[in-house]
Amino acid sequence: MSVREKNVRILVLGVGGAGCNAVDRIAMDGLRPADAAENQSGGSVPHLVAINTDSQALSTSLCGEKFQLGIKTTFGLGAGGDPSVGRKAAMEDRDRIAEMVKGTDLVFIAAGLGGGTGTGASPFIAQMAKQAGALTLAFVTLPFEFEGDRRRDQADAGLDELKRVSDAVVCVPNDRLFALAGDKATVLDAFRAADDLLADGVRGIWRMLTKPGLINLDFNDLRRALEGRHDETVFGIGEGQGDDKAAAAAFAALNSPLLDGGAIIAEAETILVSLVGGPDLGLGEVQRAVSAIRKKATQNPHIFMGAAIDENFTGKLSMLVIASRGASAIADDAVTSPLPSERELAASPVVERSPSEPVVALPAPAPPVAAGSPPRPVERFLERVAGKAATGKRERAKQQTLGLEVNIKGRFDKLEPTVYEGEDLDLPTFLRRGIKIA
Amino acid sequence: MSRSRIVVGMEIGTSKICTVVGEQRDDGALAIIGIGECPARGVRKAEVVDLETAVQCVHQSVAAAEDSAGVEIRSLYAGVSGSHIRSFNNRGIVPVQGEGGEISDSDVESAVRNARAINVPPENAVLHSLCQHYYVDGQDGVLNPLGMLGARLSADVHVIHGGRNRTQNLIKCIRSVPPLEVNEVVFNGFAAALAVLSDEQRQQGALVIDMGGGTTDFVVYVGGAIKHSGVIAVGGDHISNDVSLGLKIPCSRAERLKVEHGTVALDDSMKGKAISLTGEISIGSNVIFKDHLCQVMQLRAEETLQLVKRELDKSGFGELLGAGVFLVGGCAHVRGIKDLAADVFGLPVQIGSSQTVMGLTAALDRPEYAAPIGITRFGAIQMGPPKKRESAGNVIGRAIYGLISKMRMF
Repeated sequence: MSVREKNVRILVLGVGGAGCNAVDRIAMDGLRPADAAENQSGGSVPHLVAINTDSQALSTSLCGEKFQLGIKTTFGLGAGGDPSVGRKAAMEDRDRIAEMVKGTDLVFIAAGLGGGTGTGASPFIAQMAKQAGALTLAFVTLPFEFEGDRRRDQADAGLDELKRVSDAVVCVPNDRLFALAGDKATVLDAFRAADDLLADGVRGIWRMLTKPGLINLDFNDLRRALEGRHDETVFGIGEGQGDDKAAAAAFAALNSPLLDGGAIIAEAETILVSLVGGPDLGLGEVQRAVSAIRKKATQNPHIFMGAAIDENFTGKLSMLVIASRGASAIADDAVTSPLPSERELAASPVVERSPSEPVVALPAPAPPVAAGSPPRPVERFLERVAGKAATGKRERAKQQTLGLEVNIKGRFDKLEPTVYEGEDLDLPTFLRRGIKIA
Repeated sequence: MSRSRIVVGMEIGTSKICTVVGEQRDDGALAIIGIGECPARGVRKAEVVDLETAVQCVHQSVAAAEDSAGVEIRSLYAGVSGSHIRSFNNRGIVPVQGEGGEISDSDVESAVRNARAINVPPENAVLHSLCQHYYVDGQDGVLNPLGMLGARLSADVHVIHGGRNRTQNLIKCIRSVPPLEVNEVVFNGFAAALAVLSDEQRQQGALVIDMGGGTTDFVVYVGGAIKHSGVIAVGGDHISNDVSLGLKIPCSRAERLKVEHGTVALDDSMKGKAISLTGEISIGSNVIFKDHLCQVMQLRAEETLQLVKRELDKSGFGELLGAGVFLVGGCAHVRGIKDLAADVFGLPVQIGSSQTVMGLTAALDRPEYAAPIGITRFGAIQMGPPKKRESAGNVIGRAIYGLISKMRMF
């Protein structure tokens, strides 16, 4: 069922403020290089929809199709940062949402977690999409640290929800971007960078599915790579030019904000690599680029790869890497997490809820926050993204049952780190190289 | 004692604070007459992180040195290291101002000053600016231009600089033990090279690696002049820490295990060889396997040496090291590290001993004393050869000699 063979209906939904911005960005730049060609074949131009509770924000959106959510609940005034309002608004419009997602094959949901609409409504929408039979991918940002604990707690709960109901959640912790942009970046820049990254991710997958391939990677591959993962998935995008474009693209992709120099790759169990090059793209280059990624992997991951040709990319190579940790991680969580909702999840991966039933209270039902509670998902994720990745599963699982902070740097924990060419030398060498001791 | 002068060097290291007392003889030779040592606390990666505790250790170390040498210590030279140390090479050019085109002291000085005037960030201070060689009107390789005729003088200078405040903290730590005063500070790596390398080896080209507890300092000499230097803030502590994390044992136990059983030369015979941790109260297994221990150590040691190699390659002098590599510092005791280093660098490697001074031979042979002995030697060079009738306390006289000496300080 390739996009190229059959029309795959693709829906890109921007939910809430950040989500709408991301969709705007896609609408503005177009989904180059796919859209032109697909238009002619009458094929599947993605449907871009901006969804928001705030009618004023919605009115300024550049997106062709706008979806005013929960007019009765919020009177078009927005959710006021309260996820329960966002969810109520989504529930109010359940029929319209069901109508919208009906018959779609792939649904992207872009949202910023932490606020009202994005956090509250997007899990609900994802659930509807999933029930309609679509492969549902969520691209979400986690709030900046300066946005405060409350938003973080809300984002946390929202992320849990989303992971449960969608096939894959691609997470972008905003702090990560902030660290890269540096102190000088304006707040506007930082948020824009987050929006851009969301748009890039959607666009990258879109491109992969729609361009004629040298090595085809189609919808089924994507489905197999991501379906039922339920866990966070990260991606990196890089572009290279010139003689050594394969190496340059791989380097840039590995060093893009979320992949953290490939540390995440080391842990991944499924990796999807998608290349887009010009007609001059050689097989040798494809091979070099993919092996650069493969070299970073230690868990013997399942690697899906595709290479597509686009006239616009003559002399260039663009590379998208999506890495996903295995579903086993979620089982770990379910066993050790004190949250009953997660146990429930272990029993039935997609929770069918009756519409009237009040859904998980937000912010997160705080378990007794003692030394014994495992780190929250957001923290775990941040930790992983922050390059503390290659710990190996066994150790992490142990950590969670013991409920102790693992001090991965030992006696150097609180000191100024020794960083050499981007590597934190205080972390044990065997961990950084992913070598298993004992 | 009347015709000799006492010079003292102190290294505040990550694992030990070491005070070396030297006596400069009439003929200018330096003999080591006493050493005081105290395990360091409050120091991490060669920098003071707990001033109060470190001050106590300084006190103990000095007291031990005084006992050992039978002298009273009032002032000393201090070694500095840490990740803040940086270096660069630069050339300073001046038109010759001296009378009749004759190059004078002040010409040389201003050439050197020009060379070090740039590139140092405001928060850093120059520790050393070491002349490599001079050019007079483009004539290459002039070693001492004083008195030569020329219109233009250039000086190639290797500048080592470090964080101003961090260096001051070190000085403060020592001065907190009255009556101690710090004459000058020296970069540890440079000091270690002073202790270990003979003039000939410096000419041939050599790399000195001082692998201590918290940092690995290195200095490259080519053609008699220092060409590159730096600090990688990784040392023996990192090896122990890796062992502790990798084998899940306490840090202190890891340290002992490293010393007693560790080697970085891996071979098949150690596969499955168990080491039981006796006298330890721990949950679960108290047996670890030697191959695990050694693999962890080998990975870290090799990586650290590779980093130095990378720095060496960057400097472009890797091919010019005729005398090879000299390993000093506590990590030089790690079994198998010599062969490991030889593999990494592809050069002959030897464990350095302090050949350039006389005295307590037991101390001179030990690689971990190279830096403090070198600091003492640096002090002796700064003071210049003894002059008759000069009193031991004539600091001003020493300072003037220091200026004239080739090693110019900040």
